[in-house]
Amino acid sequence: MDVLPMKNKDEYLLSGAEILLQGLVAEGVDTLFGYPGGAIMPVYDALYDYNDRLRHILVRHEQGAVHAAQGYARASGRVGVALATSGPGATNLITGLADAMIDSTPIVCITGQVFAHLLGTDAFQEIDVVNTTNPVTKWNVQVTEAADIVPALSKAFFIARTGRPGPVLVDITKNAQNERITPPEYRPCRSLRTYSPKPELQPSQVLAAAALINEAKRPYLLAGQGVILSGGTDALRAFAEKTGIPVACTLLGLGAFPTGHPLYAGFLGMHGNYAANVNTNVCDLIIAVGMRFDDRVTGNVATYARQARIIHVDIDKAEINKIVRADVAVHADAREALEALTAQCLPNRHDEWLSSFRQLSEVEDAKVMRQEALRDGPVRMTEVVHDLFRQAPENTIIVTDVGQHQMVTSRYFGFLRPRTHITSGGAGTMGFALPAAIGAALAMPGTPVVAVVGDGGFQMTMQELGTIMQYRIPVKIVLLNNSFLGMVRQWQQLFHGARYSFTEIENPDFVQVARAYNIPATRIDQREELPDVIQDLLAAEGPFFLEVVVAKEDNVFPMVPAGAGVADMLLELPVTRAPIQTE
Amino acid sequence: MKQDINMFLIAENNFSVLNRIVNILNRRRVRIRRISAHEEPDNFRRGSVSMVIHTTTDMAEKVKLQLEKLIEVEAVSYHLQPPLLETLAVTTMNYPMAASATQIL
Ligand SMILES: Cc1ncc(C[n+]2csc(CCOP(=O)(O)OP(=O)(O)O)c2C)c(N)n1
Repeated sequence: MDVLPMKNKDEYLLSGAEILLQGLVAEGVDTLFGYPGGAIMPVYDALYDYNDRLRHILVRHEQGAVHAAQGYARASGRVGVALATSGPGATNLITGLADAMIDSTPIVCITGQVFAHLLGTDAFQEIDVVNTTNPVTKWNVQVTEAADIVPALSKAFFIARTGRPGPVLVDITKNAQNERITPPEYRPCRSLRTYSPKPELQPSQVLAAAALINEAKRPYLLAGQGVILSGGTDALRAFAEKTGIPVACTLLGLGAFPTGHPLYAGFLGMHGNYAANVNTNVCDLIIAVGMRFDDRVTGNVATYARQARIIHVDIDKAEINKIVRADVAVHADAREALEALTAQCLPNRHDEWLSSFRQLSEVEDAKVMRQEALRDGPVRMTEVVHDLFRQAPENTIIVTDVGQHQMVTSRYFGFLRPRTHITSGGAGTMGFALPAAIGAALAMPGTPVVAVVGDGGFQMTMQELGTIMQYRIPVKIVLLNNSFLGMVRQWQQLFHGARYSFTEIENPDFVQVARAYNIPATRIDQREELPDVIQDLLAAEGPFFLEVVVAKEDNVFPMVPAGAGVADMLLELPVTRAPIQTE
Repeated sequence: MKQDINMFLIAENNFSVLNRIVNILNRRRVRIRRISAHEEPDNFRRGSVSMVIHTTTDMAEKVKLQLEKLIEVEAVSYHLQPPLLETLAVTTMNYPMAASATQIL
């Protein structure tokens, strides 16, 4: 008599590595950015069979993986995932973790770790990753048994994406990856006893805020990334249109309010718009929504908006009263708060107040914009960004690196939609843009993604051209080459008597570099070529590399010198050549 | 004005939680004059920390909010330490759940 073959007991067991991958699939993950190594090999071995469910992108450096995960998260709103091995693999993630922490980006990083019995013995590639990444993660955990993988992973995703989002790291010892156990059911985490991510909106706070808004003569709304993260851009628009209140955006808030809107007051911060900054010290009420009064926005806090009352809406209670004292704190999700405020506030108009923004903008127009629009001499960054904005479809995602080109792009690209602007704000991480653009392009297939980079920062993660080549990722790269670490040179010119100490940079032939990676590439140095070449860039099906040789010693104006007040914006180079004194 | 402040904290007793707590104080350069931490006697998953920090009340409030942000931390409270009762801090640490030193008296 035939007997049905009994399944070997072991066949019902799964390794920790497989349990991890099942968990990722259960969390809805479709893409991983990673780099293998000894301590994460069981996970990579399991990945071999998960090709159909999980797309793994082999980056060229772990920093690239974490920035790509950030770009993926920022473009899509979903959690980005990066994988790395122990030791140097894990420490290469740190810059990206710190960046994601300060810019509230939901990512989960999974690192391999040496066998549990070797922990603390200085084993090969053993680094205390949990304690090393402790200050740069929203939460982290080490797992030493397969049975703990599911609880750790579900908690990691829950913490990363809820409340004020942030990076989470899960460090898994190799024995836990290898261990075979009866697979536990994957249960997504929905609550934690000691963590309440979403504060309940307090009607009393809303009423107190609405009372201030209703009586204000010169109210001014400052929108931060919290508006975008909460999905509150429509709510913001409805609030502004009902109350007639002008809206300015922080760097990470760009896209929260359409730049073309009549109530758009401009871009805030060190290189923001003149009116947006100066009127901070004229308004009688600030309604700060989902922003944290970063020092690049406030300038000298001692002179910041002293005349104004302040309503601070933030989901993170520790941000309220951290830098600027709030008269009314609304500890809440930005969208919920804006919707409640719209219901409580009276319809209003502030025509005179709005026209003061227009008058101040004319000053900026005359001193800065018109100068920049002259279009003589060497090509300037401003005209490249301007032409790019003119030609790019409205849904184009712009990813910038850090430096002058970043500030110029923030100023001259008119962001119209949320999640179309991705940059490293709080950390100012050079090297961010190229890998982040890779992540954004993979998260949003069919959406044009353009990375605008400087010649300095590009060389920090330029090896990711290899990732673009291998997966034919349709990232368009615009390199603004001034042969200088431009932003630092500008500071040297203004504040250090033009002593250009180690900021001039000898560059490789970038076009040849791009071509070596099989990426179509062009260099131009004549403005007449700009429109056509930008058209080619945007029309290219795959990746495209455009180098524009720009003026070597150009400056980004206006500027609030470090330590100065927001109203003390420089509109042009001071006549004196003496260094400007700062804090 | 900087002064001695008693701070009490209840948290889940995970690995690294003490490091996280101390990191926040270090980052703000808040001086820790005393610190004592222990598991709950009948529940090893929960623990508490008592400390005496030397700082301003404004900073204590900011640090409290940043500590409360830590995922494992359940609650943080602080109160000014009565100068004459300096020795009480030791007693207080043995009763970390008490809201104030005077409650123990
Ligand atoms: C990793 C890192 N190192 C150093 C800096 C300091 N920094 C800020 S802007 C800048 C110059 C950037 O030069 P480049 O990439 O050529 O851009 P540009 O300013 O010329 O547009 C430097 C060195 C930084 N922000 N990040």
